Amino acid sequence: MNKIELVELEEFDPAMGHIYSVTVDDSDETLYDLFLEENKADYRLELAEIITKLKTMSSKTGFTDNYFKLNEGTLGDGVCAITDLKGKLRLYCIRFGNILLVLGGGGPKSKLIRALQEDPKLLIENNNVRLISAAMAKAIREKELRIEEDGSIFGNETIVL
Amino acid sequence: MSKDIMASLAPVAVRRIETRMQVAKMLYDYLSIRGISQQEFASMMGKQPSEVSKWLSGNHNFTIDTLSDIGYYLNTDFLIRRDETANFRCVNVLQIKRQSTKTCDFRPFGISVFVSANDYLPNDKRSEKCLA
Repeated sequence: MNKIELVELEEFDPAMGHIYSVTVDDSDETLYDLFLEENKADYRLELAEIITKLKTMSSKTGFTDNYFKLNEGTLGDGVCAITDLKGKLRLYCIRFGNILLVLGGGGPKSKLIRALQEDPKLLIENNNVRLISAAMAKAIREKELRIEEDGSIFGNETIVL
Repeated sequence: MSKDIMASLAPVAVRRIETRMQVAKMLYDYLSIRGISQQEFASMMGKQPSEVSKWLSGNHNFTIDTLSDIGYYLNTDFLIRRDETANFRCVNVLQIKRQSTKTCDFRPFGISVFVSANDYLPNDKRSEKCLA
């Protein structure tokens, strides 16, 4: 992962907050697109539940922390996860308060697995999101990126890692 | 791609998820405004903090008894809000299933109403019809 680009997901009504995902190294698809593609065959219903939750949060409730599995990254990096109703699928994301969510990738989480490190796929996706969070934090500190009051992103949406 | 995926979830199921999330948010906001931590709230309710966390997750399907208990312990009727400024008395509450012949289940304008047989809305013809 050398370069990421933030892409706003237009399918979500941003009345209460904006949802972005990222493309990596000039890929045409965002990590969120890949998450949908990878899981739509076996977890269609679970994906639909996650999408419904995202739509509800962006349009009606905001991204309050009660909806997420928190502390999925390092301290204070905002990395968290959203799941379907039964917790079969996990989508890693970065939460910036209640107004901005950046979606990464994810995958199925078996109930037999207790720790993230036991699942190679989830480990990779989690690490990717941690890197993205760190890169965004750096860009914000260096004033290359700014988060507006409504949760939209202003500035250079392409970040070199 | 999302549209294809969403076709696998019936509109009524979508609405259920939205409702669960909004109920969770109501409770979350209420605890925040009152400065009650999840730990304290769990203690008040005689529950484990993990159960409260599940309640607030937006995944939980509350029973009416649990919602009633929450209102009791928080000393509020946050389940029921009356908007007296509306042209008709709009009781803005949670969606319920028909529990018995004594309660009504109807959905005017997307707002579900929870009333007992003794609590009617004079300007709402549907409530009159239901109580008839």
